[in-house]
Amino acid sequence: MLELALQSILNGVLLGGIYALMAVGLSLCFGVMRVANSAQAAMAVLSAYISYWLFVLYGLDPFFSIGISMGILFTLGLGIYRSLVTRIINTPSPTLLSFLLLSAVAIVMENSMVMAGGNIYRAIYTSYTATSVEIAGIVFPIVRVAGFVISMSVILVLSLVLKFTYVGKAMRAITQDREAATLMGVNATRIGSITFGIGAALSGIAGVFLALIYAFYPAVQGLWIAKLYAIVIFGGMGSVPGAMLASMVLGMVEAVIGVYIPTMWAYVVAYIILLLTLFIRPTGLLGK
Amino acid sequence: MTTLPLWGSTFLLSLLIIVFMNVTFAESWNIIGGFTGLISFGHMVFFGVGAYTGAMLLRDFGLSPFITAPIGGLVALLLAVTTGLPCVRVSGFYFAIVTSSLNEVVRLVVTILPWTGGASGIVLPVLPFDPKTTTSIFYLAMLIVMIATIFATYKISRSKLGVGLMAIREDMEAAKAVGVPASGLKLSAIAIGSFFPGVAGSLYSYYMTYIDPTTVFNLLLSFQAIMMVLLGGSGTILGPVLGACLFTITSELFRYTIIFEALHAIIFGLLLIFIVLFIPEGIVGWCKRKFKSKIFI
Repeated sequence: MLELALQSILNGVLLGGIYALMAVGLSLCFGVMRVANSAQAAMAVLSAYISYWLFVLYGLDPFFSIGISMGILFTLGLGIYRSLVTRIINTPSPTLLSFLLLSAVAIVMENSMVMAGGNIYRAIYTSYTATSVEIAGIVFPIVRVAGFVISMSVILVLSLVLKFTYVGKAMRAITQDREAATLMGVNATRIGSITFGIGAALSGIAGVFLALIYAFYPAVQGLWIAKLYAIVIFGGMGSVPGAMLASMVLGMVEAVIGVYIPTMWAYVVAYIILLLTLFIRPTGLLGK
Repeated sequence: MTTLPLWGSTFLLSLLIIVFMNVTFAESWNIIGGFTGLISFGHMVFFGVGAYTGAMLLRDFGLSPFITAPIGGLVALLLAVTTGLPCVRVSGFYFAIVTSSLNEVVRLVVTILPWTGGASGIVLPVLPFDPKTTTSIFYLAMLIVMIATIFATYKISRSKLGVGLMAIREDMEAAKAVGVPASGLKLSAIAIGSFFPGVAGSLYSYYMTYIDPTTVFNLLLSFQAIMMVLLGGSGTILGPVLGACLFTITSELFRYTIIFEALHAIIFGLLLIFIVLFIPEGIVGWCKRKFKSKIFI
């Protein structure tokens, strides 16, 4: 019994680590630019497709396509930001408008993928997909552990960037007080586009692992983005540690509940948590 | 309009049924989103809940649509108020997230639960009349629902409720400072705006005699409501009507030329991006601004 509980908690944490990448991206975009990136999950699915096709057509191991996906998605993020988001960033309610705008972008992306490859399930199967290590009776699937480790390293690097580099400090400055930051010489548009690009790149990394761990299809982005919003609001919109914490918690809750009832109900659970958060503490766990 | 069943073709009647449905959908969205500023991204969920309520009541109890339609509306209203309750105290952005997630979650729940028919949906008995009469009956029913929705919107815009809602939309804190009961009014708007789609949904399930989760909880159709209202002009009374009519007619025309549903969705998404970026106030809003005439209500 204890083994089962520990195993579920482990599964939850490993899963939460990968969700954390996307959740951190979403939270970051909101904190820095008050932009709700509804296309976050669609970008991850795009990245999943990129690494899938690279694997199927050229035999490129998914772990090597992480860099490629990151690059493509960073550029895509920059492009979307500069062409679309900058037009609405100065309106009175950029959050709602960006939610709507980027939802439309997500719809276009999702259906483009459907047109390109069909709405069927795909997954990447490599020689190491089903391998795992067993320690003290608990199973550690290699791919999920690798995904978790890489995700955490990326987030660590991101925190260091936020803390020590100019771009990171500029991002934090804009989060605290946008006007004062621009008065200090921070180019809000440039930093905004870089932040959005980083968010997209984070989705890029997450997408590769999602392709390895799950069967994905274009329409799944709708479900994922709903869960991501629940995670980010629960953790506190704009807070990177909040997003991480919330991902882990929700991952664990999902895994533990998944032992007793079908996994589809996990979305209902996430939704209930979302509603409870709004009722009890709207700023989330670690939000301001 | 009301005498159309006597001389119109069945095709025209069925096309107008869809137009009326979309007008109802857009106008009711406008009550929540246009007047109050609570942008609802899952408006379809109220329609779907109404549809399933009507369908299940017919399947299990054989009740007539005149009874189940208001019940469908009430069930949708209850759902809206329950999920909207945590949102009225926080900013409108959270409402957007809650409603869009609600759409997905309810769709999932309906797909999983066995007694809602699951993924294969519910099949209903056909009315024992010829197609022309059946279509005429639903035509009149939808016409009534649409007129009721437009009338309700008109009444709201001329009442204390409407003025309060618009005050909340413009600046919630200032409105509260003047004594507007923001949370209560928001809930009222959510309640009214969710009732009409519920009723329309019930009628829809009877008309189609078949519903399934993917159709009636289609998230894309929720976005269609936003698009129709934005196109026509949110916050106005004529705007959603105009937007819904334009959108439905072009959409039905295109239906016969574009084969892929995905391509349809791509064009829709691009159009929505265009409207959000370049004409966010809509046609009626633009007219209001350009020709300061009183006819553009």
